Amino acid sequence: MPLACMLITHFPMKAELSRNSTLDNKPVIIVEQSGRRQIVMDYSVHTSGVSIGMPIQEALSMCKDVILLESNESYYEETFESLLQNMESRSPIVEKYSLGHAYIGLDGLEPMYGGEARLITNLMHSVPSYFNPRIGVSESKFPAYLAALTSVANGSTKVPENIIEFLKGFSIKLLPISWKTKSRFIELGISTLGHIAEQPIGAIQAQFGREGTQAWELSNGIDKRFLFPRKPQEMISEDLIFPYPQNILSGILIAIDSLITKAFSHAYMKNKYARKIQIESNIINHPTWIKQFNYKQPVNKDGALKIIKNSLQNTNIPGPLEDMKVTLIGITGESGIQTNMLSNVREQERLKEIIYQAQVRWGNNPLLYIAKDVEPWSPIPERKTILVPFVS
Amino acid sequence: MVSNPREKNHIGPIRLLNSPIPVHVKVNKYQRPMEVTINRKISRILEINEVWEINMEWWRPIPTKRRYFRVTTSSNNNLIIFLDMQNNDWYIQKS
Repeated sequence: MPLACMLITHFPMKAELSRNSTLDNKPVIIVEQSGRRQIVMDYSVHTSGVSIGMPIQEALSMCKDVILLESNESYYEETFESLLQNMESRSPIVEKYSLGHAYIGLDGLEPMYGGEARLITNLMHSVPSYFNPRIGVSESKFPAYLAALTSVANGSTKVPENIIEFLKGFSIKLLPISWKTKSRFIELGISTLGHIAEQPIGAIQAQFGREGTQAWELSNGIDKRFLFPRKPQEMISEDLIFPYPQNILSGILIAIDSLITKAFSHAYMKNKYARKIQIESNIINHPTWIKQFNYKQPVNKDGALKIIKNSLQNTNIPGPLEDMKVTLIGITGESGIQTNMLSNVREQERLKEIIYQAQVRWGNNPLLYIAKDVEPWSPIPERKTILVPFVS
Repeated sequence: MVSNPREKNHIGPIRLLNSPIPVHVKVNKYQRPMEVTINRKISRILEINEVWEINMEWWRPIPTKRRYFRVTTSSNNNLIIFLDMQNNDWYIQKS
């Protein structure tokens, strides 16, 4: 099945530049928190020597007078989501691979758009040109990705008939395999996909196992990975801007109350329930505050509010909130759990689930044990029965 | 829903249900228990109701050799204590 790889390199940086033109032509680094460390998430073209994942201190030592931006993942996700929706209006099969990287099924679309060139041009128009999208077209994912990588900004490349010839010059570093395997390839003097393709599969398999087979197949243009279209997810969002930054819980709760009431009063939400509610707010000089509430049973307005209010009483809000957006996710027409004739089975399943959740909550340390007879005949009392951690 | 602590799932260690607990026992000249100290509380042994020995796994470097006593104490408890004959330590254990 023909498919296209849509690639937007440095997506977070381009998303920031699209909303803040004062950053144009300036060295900018987007910083993200990784545990206790701050690392580089992305950087602009005007920085030098910086790479993704580099500790921020190291990046600052290499690049003076740089503008540091806190990462805003929800904004990047939201921006990419809108681009994916644009792509979905052109093809029904769109798979989000990662931020700025998607695959689009092209099967059967050519006649509709009047030829392949027009179809690709149309796909290119689904992304604004300042994102510099690149498109690669092939019969499978990996060659399409490499074709997209070789394309110029706002350009496309189609993988030729002889895929092996096309792939042979690429570095093995582009393979989706572990770093350890890549290092071993390099140690053996295998640095390009062509080097791998030249070897017999048996030799590669014997040396590198399953990953070796995968590398050999990809180097020969064989990519068995399927295209997984996104599941349509119904969401309803409501938002507001606070008249002044709000950091008092009572004020925040009033805003949540009004947004949730408004969201549930949509005509679409009649007799419907939500499985998940997300609250997000922007805070000046701080990453976006996001709080998600997942409900075991879908909830209506009252059920949702009760749990959110209780939870926020014990939550530390990191700063005064500038605005607020409430999103209802996982909308369903059903609430509650269907009862079972064999109530005991249901009870046991519930008990298992509760125990599992408790164990996860306490860091997977076993909380409950089951006594099991091992040597009931043994005269040594401690050997008669042992305690085995409960695994649900 | 609880947050994922991002730890690997693992089965915790298997535990013994009825493992022996060390206790301090005072014996007479015939090596019979007279007093037992449990949780810093001394109880006098009023009566020894039963005595038995187990001698198992003699082929192992440290075989299991124990002398068990079922006793009644001054605090009116029926206890089972044993002497580990390998190291001369006393333990309390449920039967």
